[in-house]
Amino acid sequence: MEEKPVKLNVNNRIYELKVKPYQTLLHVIRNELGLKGTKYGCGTGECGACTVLIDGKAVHSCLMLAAQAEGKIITTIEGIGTYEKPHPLQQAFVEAGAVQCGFCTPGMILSAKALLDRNPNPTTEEIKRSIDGNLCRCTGYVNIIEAIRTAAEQMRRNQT
Amino acid sequence: MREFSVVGKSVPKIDALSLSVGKPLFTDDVEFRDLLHAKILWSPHAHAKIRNIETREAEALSGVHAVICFKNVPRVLHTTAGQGWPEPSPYDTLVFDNKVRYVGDRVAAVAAETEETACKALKLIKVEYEPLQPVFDSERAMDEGAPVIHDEPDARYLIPVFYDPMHNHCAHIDLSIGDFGAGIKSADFVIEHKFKTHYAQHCTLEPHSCISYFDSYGRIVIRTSTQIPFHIRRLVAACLQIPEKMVHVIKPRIGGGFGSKQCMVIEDVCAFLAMRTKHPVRLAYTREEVFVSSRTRHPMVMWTKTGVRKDGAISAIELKVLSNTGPYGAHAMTVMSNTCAKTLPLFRCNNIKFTGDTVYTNLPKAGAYRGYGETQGTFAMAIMMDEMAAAIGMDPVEFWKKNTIRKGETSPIFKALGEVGSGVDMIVESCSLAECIDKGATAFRWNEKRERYKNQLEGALKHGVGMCCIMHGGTVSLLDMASASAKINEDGSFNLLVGAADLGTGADTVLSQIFAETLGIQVEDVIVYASDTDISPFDKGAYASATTYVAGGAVLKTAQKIRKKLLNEASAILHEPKDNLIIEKKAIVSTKTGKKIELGQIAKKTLYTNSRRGRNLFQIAATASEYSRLNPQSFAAHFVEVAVDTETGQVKVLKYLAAVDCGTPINPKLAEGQIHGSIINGIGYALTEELVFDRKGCVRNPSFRDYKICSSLDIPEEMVTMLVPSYEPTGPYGAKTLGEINISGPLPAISNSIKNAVGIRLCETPFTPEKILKALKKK
Amino acid sequence: MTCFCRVKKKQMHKFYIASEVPSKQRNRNLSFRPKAYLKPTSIHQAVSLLSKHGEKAIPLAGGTDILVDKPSNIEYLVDITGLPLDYIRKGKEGVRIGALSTFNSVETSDLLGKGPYSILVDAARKMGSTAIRNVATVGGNICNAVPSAEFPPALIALDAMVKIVGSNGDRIIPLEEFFKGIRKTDLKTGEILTEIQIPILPPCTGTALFNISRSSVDISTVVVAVRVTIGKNGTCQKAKIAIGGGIGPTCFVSKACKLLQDEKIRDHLIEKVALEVSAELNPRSTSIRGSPFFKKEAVKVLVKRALRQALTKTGEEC
Repeated sequence: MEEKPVKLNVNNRIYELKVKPYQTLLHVIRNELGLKGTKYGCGTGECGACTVLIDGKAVHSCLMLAAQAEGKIITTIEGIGTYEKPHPLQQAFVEAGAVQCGFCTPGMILSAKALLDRNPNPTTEEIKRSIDGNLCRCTGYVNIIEAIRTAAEQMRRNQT
Repeated sequence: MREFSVVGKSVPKIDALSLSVGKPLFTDDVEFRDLLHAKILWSPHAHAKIRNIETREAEALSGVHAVICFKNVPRVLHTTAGQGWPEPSPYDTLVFDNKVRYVGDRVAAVAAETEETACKALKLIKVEYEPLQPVFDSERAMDEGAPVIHDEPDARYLIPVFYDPMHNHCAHIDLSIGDFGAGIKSADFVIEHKFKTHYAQHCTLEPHSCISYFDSYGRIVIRTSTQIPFHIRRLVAACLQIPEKMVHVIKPRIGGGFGSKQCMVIEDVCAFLAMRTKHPVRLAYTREEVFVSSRTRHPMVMWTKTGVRKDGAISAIELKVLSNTGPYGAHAMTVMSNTCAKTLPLFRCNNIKFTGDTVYTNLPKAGAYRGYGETQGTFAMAIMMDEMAAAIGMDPVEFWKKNTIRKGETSPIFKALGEVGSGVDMIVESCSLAECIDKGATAFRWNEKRERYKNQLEGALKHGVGMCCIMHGGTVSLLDMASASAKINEDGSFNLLVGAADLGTGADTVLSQIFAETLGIQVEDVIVYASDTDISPFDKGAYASATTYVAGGAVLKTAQKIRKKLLNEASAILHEPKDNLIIEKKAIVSTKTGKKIELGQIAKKTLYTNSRRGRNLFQIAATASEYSRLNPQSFAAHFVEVAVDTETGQVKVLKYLAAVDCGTPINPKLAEGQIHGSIINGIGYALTEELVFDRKGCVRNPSFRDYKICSSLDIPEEMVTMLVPSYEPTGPYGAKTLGEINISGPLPAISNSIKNAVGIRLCETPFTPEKILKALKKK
Repeated sequence: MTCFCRVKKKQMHKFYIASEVPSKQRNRNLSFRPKAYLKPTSIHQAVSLLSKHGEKAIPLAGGTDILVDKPSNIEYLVDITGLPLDYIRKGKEGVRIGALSTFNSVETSDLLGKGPYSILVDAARKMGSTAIRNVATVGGNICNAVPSAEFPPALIALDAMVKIVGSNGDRIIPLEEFFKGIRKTDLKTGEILTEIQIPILPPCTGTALFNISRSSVDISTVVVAVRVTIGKNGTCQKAKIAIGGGIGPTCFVSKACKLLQDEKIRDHLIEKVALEVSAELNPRSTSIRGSPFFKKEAVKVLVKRALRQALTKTGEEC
């Protein structure tokens, strides 16, 4: 078994580690880097609980090998805001009642961030489409869509 | 709606920010040194004896610490059902048995240093099966000569109820009210239908996960994603043959429940492996295992016969239910009981006949699932209501209003049947169903749409509208108990300990609102800690839509006790009669003199300095309990508009409106979220979700790829929720229940709207395009 | 639902080793254990590595199929995402799509968004979810050769060719000939698919793509891609109907479009073609997404709708 040394840029921090060729980015994020916000929901790229941003685009980390992530800018939920200073999306999710069990929330927020970073004024259809790979069983998506819309408004205000 | 300071306000969920920033709050988010990983060996057979099982080679594999199976685990019959003791479910389950009863049943388990090693060890376990004939069809399971799934001589219920396992007959209930025969004779129209509902899986985003370890005092700790921490403690203790005092169960944040975690699913195996290995052991299901080896909704076959008179009165109702519990009887009787107990009291009819049977089959384990029998019962009855209305030419809205229970009324079924045996005689003390129907119909533009869709243009797409009403009585009457404890801190904040399990429902938040309201403080001053069997007082767990009503009642009582103590102290400190004092804004004020003392100051005095003035030092604290003396009903009216593509059979839900009476919504935003989530789950159940089996009883689609739940693109274009409050005098600040009721709307409402659109009646779920095409061709 | 499964007799069964379980997905993790991860920087290097390691090596692009299927007995993962194959070009020779273009690139491509090539955008939009489309590549999707894929029928309707590079040189073959069966292609050991080539389409060409799936984000039950070219005299000069969705082979090209040749396409002819296409199909009875009855009914409807829409669009392209 050839363990591959890799340098992973996660949340603007470089981690140097050795990964096995078959280890997924999800496994490494959770078990090697100790970042637990990214979740295992299905392992087959269907539920979106493992969503991270790779160079600003939403990607299922259960379907990406850790080795493939070298040279990319990886962002997990921990990298976009903190308890003390949450990202507008995180704040909007709280206020809109978009968080129930919270298991889908990190992935959902990152998919939304990928949308708003390139499309600051999305339509409802575009919002729905941006989270089409993030399943939620608790909220029925209604408040989530509302949260993303509110966050978009806030982010536009922050820009001006 | 009455005005309160904290209750009735949409305060943010107290854990929402932590969840949004990705804090490690779930079962599998902690790390342990020397953690072992467990994997389970599943049965490939639907029905087989295990003649022999050879585990030595697996045990010898480097990195393997233990292998367990029926040979080295004590034989302790139990039920896995998370229900109050003595459980109303048969004791027909073993941790490991020498018989397997469905594809996906447990055979053995391994604990090893890595998941990979555990998987390798599974492959080395040699099992000698003697396949037996399985039975998959619930309508044939009780036939003479059918294979017997539970032939062990000692399977039994702890309570005296019907049980005939030699005929796969797990439960039976008969109920007769009034004179059904006479009622049918007096009817102008008699309508009969057969209904079938199907297997569905809860699909909680978080798979079942458990970590078990010994603490420093030799006690076994179980950190698990469960709805029922106290029942888990009792059930695991029984299986491990140790006293409850040696078991400590902790429920962290959990990623959804919906009933799938209202059983002991994996905790027994995890705890056994921890005991054997003396290591912390982690057992987490893969998604496939969740689909196959956790729990599902009871599929049912139902037969209904109702009589209706031309004047619109329902003269007789008969409901026969055949429920399929799979290979084990957890929740078998109670879910079936609810198809009558929680459904039929809605209807103003005095001639009712109910026959319910639950059978064993060799298909996956059914268990609790949001709605819990009422979903299936409502499907049948709400369609019958639609059919009866059509038979007499009355608009469904008028028909429902005429025939549903009202405030001040009662139903003989309340007393005759509950979820477990007889129920509780009660009068409906809060009901705004008529208002729900009226407001919902107006906002939905029901009349206008009914008229518009009578004559539709040529073309493949046909629109239709349908509606239904639902009633859901929260709690298991007389058997649900919850407790709360609270104590004051120096800064005037409180620790509130509750046994209640927040599944993401927002229970912690709602309970803190009730507490805060009573003490004139804000939610920020309430620190909730929940669901830890060592620290929280008892709570039966999150099920039966009981948390707000029962746990809320316990919290209210606790707060009232603390309030009394605070007023006593303040009266002594301020030298003011108690009658002059009010609590507001975290202080106690005299309405007469304006003298004031902060709650924090009272705390400091009672904790530190009172003794200098000859008064007692003590902790201001209280504990209180509440139980379900009654099960007050929540109500809802659902309206749905669909478009049916008559060429492809596809159905699109265009608009869904739910008008809901849950008493006082303690937190309207959270209440709306519960309504949305239930409805979308119900729509998925109606249209796309379905577990599919092969001829050997194996689940063919155990993945999100192949079992389709609604995504963001599948929700109706328009979702409207209307909270239509009533005031339940027996509930905390007038609150009732909300968690389950709305999932029962989509199935019948969509069937009714399809009927309105294209004239076909679908009584078998899900309403797939193929079923619709076939029905259209037949028409 | 089956009542009783027939078991010949109550008999002692031989030893069942735990691995002999019927579920295809069981113990997937265990079988996928490649020893090495390699990342070539040139096509030549990639071909060389794949040739060297033969059956034990697999090219890895987006990974969204490989990491789900987790093929066993693979020792070398050859990550080809570093190769210069991520482009979409449109010029005099037609459209060229690099094999490493993601479905997101296709979906958002201005070059393809208008005109008859837009069915490629339509097909890309239906593929998986946003996060999948962000990394899944068109080349990987084609080489996976699953019958339910939406993209191949759209490509085939446009007479797409694929360019394959191997140690023996390059070759270009029609996509229809590239597919050899379910999950089987003409790709030989050591070869990689590098480019999709779509010829220039004549004027008055209209295309349409329709599908049915159980929910919005789902593998298609049926996909129909249609292309028609109308001549100056108003008759059909060329028509092609490609069907995907677990019908049988990876992508089925209907012979029924011959009925359209040199004819004015009217409603009655569309009906006839739709019936003919449906009759040609022999879907397997074991699909969980739809029975043969449903698929054949659905195909009829989708062919009609696609032909009508393609015909309408020919007017825009003249």
